[in-house]
Amino acid sequence: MARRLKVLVSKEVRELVRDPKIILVMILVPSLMFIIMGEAVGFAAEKTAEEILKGVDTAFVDGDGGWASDLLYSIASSAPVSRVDRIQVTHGEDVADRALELAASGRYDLVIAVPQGFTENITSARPAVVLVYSVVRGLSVAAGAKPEVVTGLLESYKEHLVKQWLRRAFPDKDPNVLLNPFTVVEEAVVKGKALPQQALSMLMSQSFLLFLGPLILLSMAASIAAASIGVEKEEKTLETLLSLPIRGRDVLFSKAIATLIVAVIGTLSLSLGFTVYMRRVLSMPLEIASQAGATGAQPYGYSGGLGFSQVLELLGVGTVVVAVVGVFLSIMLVLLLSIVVSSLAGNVREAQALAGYIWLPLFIPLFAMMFLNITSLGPLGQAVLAMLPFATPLLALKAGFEGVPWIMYANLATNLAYSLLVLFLGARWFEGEKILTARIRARRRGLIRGLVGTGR
Amino acid sequence: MSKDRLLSVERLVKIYGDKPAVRGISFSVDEGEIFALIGPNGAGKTTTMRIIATLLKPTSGRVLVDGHDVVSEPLEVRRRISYLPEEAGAYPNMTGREYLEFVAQVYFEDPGEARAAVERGIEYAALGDAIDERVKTYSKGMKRRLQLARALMTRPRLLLLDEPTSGVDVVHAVHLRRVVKRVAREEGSTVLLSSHNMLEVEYLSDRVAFIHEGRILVEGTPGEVKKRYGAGNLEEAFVRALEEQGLSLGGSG
Repeated sequence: MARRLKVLVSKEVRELVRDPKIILVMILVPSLMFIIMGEAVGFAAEKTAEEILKGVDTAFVDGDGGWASDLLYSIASSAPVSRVDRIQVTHGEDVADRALELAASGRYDLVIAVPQGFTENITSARPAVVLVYSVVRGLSVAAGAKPEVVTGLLESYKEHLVKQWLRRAFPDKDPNVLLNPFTVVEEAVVKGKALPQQALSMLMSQSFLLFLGPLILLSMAASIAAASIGVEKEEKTLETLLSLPIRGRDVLFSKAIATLIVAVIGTLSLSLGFTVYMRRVLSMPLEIASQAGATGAQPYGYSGGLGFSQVLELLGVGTVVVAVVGVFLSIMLVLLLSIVVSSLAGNVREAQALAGYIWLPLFIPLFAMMFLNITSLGPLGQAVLAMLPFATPLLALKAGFEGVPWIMYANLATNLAYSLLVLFLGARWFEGEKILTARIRARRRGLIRGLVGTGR
Repeated sequence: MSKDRLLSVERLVKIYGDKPAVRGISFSVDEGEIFALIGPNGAGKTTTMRIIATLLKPTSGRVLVDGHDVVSEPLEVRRRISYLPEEAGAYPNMTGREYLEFVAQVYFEDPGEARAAVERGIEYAALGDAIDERVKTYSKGMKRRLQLARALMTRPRLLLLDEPTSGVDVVHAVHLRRVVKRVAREEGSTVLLSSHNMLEVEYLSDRVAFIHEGRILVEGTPGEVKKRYGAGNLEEAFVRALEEQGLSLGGSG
């Protein structure tokens, strides 16, 4: 019987990987999408950097003429990417009007205007004002990057001024220490282990991937499984297949195994695309990344993450094993359900629609789980959580982290029971006659039409 | 008659929900015999075929293939049969040869036997170089030839052919009928055939049964049936058989 199962699996895999729709939609598009996105983000970042490096044309409108405005001018003109024209304003001329007029002329990217009395206010420690006009020439990231240069300049100027005051007030003290009297070294303690807070924050912020990863894999698996049975119906091959000297359940198993193989290939392809995307975005040179801050990219070599061994240590080997087994169980459960449910359909489109309707609502509680702590739920909530289908991978990682391991074992057992039940019922479904006649009955009752619209 | 009985259908009943499709039919087919079920759409031919092919369970009655019960020993029955449904397709992304190889590997454990079956299938299909092209490029007639070749190549004890030349043009239909007759005679396969085409039935069959609204009206050799109703051909005999029973030709699909 194992020989016949192998023959069936081989047939299923061959049929799936030769289907242009599956190759395109399940394997090529997801990976290419990330690669193209990475290239687009990288291109935008490079353009931004190029724009900045071309230089920021700045007009410095000086209505003050004191030492404080001189200092601001010298800091502005010493910035490597700035070309600064100093414009003195005559008595009686309005600084703001002159600055606006220069900004409107289109000759400058940036206009910094210092009103009369600025130095006097600074010297007397009274509130002083600097006017800044950023000329916006577009809505792109690159167009918005130039004006951001001024933020750095003014921060640097402020620091310079404060240090000057501190030197005068405390000539025997280091103004840097006075400005930053202490450094915060923050660590998070998880299960008695100290971890850099930054690393933990990153782990938390990336926890959505724990939801998104399995979601992508499961949706891909469900769709391929549905296509596999949909093709049998569409091409009218199922009746012949079930009349061959094989057990009906072997047809179910072979489809599940072949779909799993193709889904894993699809997921690897997707992961490859995602890796290329991340490398493309993260590998921007440090100076470009910092200048192109609007992209939100972290400079390459950012040391805030956790290594795999640290994650393993943090969660515990048992948790990781349960999570991995949970992923496998979830996939098998989705596959078996999708195959059985989509066997009610008459073609690939109907099959994929049916499979989608079945498993998608089950993900809603998982989505909610991302925002909840297990320990904040009462006994009833925890019991419900323990029975959620497909939840083992996410639940294992959360339960392992929160120190409530029983819930992940309970969920693993529940999902194992679900899988065995679906396997048993699915085998009976494929052994019985309803797999050939159910659609007729379902259509007669308007069930298929109600779910997937028209179609035959 | 010294031949062994290969197929035995006894008081077979099949009801879908509250709609009877087969109402207690009985017939038997001897080894090496070609037996045809003749009737309009909805007469119960396909349901009977599907029950014999182990795809449907009878509501009551019994069906034995080579002594094996279709309900309690479905796998034993499937090893002995080859079923060609009326609407049978092949996997669109496989070549014709790959499809035959797949089916042969399911039937035969020995690679040599499987190879020999594939060679026979290629000969029966007579698709020429197209056998190595993907099925999705085939015309309806080519697909039917491939399917018939698939059904014949395994040398089944019982061949179930539901409308074997349905949708096939005249030239290819003649080819298919010749192949069926030759293989049945040479290999000694027993054939249960259903068809609307009376010429086809008369050409191929040793015995026929008229079936209407789930009941068998008459059974015998084509000559006996025609003689009984004083008809020149089977079509005329079928109409007269209905009239004799007070029935009309208003069967539903």
